[in-house]
Amino acid sequence: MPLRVENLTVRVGTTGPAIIEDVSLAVAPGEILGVIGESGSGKTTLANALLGYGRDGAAITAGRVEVAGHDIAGTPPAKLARLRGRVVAHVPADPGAAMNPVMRVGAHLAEAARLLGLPGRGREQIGATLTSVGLPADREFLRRYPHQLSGGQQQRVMLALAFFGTPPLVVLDEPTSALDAITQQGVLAIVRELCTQQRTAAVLISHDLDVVTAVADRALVMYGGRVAELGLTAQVLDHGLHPYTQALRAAMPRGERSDIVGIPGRPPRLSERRPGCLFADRCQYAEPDCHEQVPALTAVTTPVVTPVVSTPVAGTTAGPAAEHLVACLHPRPGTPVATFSMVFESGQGAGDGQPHEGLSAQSMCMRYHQRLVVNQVDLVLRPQGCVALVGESGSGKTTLSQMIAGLRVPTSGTVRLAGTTLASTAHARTADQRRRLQYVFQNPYASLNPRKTVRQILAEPARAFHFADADPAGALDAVALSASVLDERPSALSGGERQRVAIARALLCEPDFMVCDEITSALDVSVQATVVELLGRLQRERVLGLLFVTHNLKLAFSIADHVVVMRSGVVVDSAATAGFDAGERSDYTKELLASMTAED
Amino acid sequence: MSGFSMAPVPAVTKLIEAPAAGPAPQRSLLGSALRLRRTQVGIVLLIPLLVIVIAGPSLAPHNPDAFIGPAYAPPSAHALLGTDNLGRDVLSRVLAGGRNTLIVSLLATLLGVAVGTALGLAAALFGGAGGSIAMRLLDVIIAFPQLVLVLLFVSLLGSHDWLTICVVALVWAPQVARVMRGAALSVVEQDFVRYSRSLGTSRLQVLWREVLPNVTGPLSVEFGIRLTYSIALIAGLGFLGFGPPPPTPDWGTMISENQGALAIQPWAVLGPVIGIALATLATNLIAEGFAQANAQGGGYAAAS
Repeated sequence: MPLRVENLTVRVGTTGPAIIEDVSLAVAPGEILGVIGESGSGKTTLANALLGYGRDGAAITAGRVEVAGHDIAGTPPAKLARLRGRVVAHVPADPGAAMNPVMRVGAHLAEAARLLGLPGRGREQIGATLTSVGLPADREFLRRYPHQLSGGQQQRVMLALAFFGTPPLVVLDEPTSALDAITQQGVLAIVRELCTQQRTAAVLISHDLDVVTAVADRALVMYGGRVAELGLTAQVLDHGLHPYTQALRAAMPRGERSDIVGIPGRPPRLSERRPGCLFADRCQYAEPDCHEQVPALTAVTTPVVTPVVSTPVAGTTAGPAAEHLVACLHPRPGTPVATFSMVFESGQGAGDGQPHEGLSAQSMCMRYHQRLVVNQVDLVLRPQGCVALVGESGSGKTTLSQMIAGLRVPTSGTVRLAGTTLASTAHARTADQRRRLQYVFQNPYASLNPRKTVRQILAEPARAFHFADADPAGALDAVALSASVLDERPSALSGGERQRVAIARALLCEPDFMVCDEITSALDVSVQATVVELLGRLQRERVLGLLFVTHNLKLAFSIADHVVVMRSGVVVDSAATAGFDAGERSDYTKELLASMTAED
Repeated sequence: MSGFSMAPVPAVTKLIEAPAAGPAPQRSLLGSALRLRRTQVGIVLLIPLLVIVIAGPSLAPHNPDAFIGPAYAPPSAHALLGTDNLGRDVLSRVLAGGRNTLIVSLLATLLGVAVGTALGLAAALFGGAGGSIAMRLLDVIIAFPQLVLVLLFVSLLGSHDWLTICVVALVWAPQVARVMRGAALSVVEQDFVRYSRSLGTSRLQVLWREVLPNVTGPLSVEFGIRLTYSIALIAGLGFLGFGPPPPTPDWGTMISENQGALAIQPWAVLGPVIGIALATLATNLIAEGFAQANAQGGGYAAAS
């Protein structure tokens, strides 16, 4: 067996709280195990433990990690270093940070060849490996520096390095989280192919169910450092029995206008882990015994499912590996129900009949060092409408949205609000115009002043617009935060809570339109769903028009009534969400749509 | 702040928890600086200096200007540290001579840091060509050796406390401005500053409300370092003969007056030297304490 983990526990210090507790798993040759978890679930600690690497202050206190017969926890560091690359290899989340910026591609591979002791500096193997990951093996490519590669190419080089020594086990830690949807698909296909060809076992860590669905034979769901559910990917993700798996599934946007359901609360922090099931506090099916008894991982019988990824995992499907294991005292099939309906309103006044009522941008252009990053873009947002602006990084979507909000000065173009042309900077607009059009930033860690309390942050709109009767507690209530956070500073809040404070700050201005720039991209899936739920409710209750900027086409479909796709500064598609995939689409959008369906 | 945020959290846990996770123990910069040994030592060393500043002249056993015996008399019961070149009591002159140096240093530092911070933050926020030109002009001042610049003004206009304060402040302001501009540059690019601007807040208000609270770390470090340098510089002025006019007691002047008799009556030199050493050591230790506390996360970087 390439990988066998038995009752692994990693603690802070030797007696501190457990980061991961009692984790057991096995992976067969050629098999990919997808490990799913949100931030704080312990998935990265698990990945590091497989490599015999513990973070500062963390130590394996119990259990055993066995990679191809080697006891990883018991191996001295020097010997462990020799095992890495030969027996177990690692693919990091951010290839840009993993490659040495002053080393050429060829030098990276030559270094690996030298460490593996390949004869003749491994010239032949280098060529073969590069070809196997779909990269050119010519001299010109080997002479390139990392910055001359695209993100996808960088990650392919990392894959080449990992699979170079044909190790029995490869650990991939969020290998595609830095890549856009289309590139991600290509990289995952290579992972699948290499594992099958070389009969390499792989552990793929991801927060994204779609990634796991696309390549993994089996899926493991982690929550609070423990295994919640383990089984064939389809068993776990489509017929999951653990309420957390089901909730996670329901929180994922499915690419159609429909409810996505958030998970209330947040994962327990290390210091907050109590006895009993850790998910009980957030579980809608929790019963009294859930708070007392730690559920053991037990085998269940589920409807027979055929593996989605058809791969020859000979000898594994019949063994204990194919078991469906759930750590829940009261497992039950089903999906969580929305606490309230979340379908977003369509804009009033269908068609472009009354554009003077809404927010519009015409012929927006932005030139940056001789390059047009936004080129002649038009956009119309009706009152209470929701337009999603979709594009990968570098498509100009953020630049466009900031020009509309007056945070950047466009090279040319006009923004009109209710028939009035707005000045190009927010500062030059009238106070009332500023109030009516609010912008919520992508990164809630940067958009709140860390030196201010939430109360002081929420007092900013009142000061700017001279409101006498501002109600910060009411605004917090509208974003489902308790008034007790008023005297906290942002550092005491989680990412999702911070983003809700930022939304509350925008709401206090009583805006007619809100520009939301990737406001969920820094958040976990379950938190993303709660923020999106919230926006849907606010849009209905407060007659709010939303410009929702995102890189996630599925998310766009689930909330917007109109989708605009941007690429390289130009709009390539713009159509109503209903029947979006039926109409005539650009090649790029077709590719995006294809990458969306490929993952299902 | 609510009570729990001050609850002690084991250091290891802090290492493990991701930045996204949970309430990090929140301590003010001052609070975390005070927990460091070097800051505590600095404060202990500062106490005798504060006593000298507040009550020094009245603690003096003799009139510091009175002739009480022969020149360079060794320590005795009458004069605990002996007498100086003119037969005045060294102890009394040390106790009375620190106040001027320390107060002038403090005022010069306050003025220099205030002006420098204002310039630096403004250069960071306004940016563009104006900011760059302003910084290059300040670089010209930095290019002059500090002491030479101060001596130039003092020798032209005579020795006055107000002049010393202004000139020393002028010397520090560009250096402080550089540091504060660097610290502020990373803050003005933050979204919360852009948000505040987008609400129509004036630049001055943005500087005061949004930027300044986020650069208190480097600011306090800079203040401590400049205070240390000011004490040394102003004592040096006295040594070179540009201190207060005689017979006013002054540490720097005392060293130069008595240096000839270092072998016979070392206390006439050592007394003021210990005073200056104590002052620079104390302020430097405290400044370093603040610098370390800032680097360990009391400052903006940790909060973001």
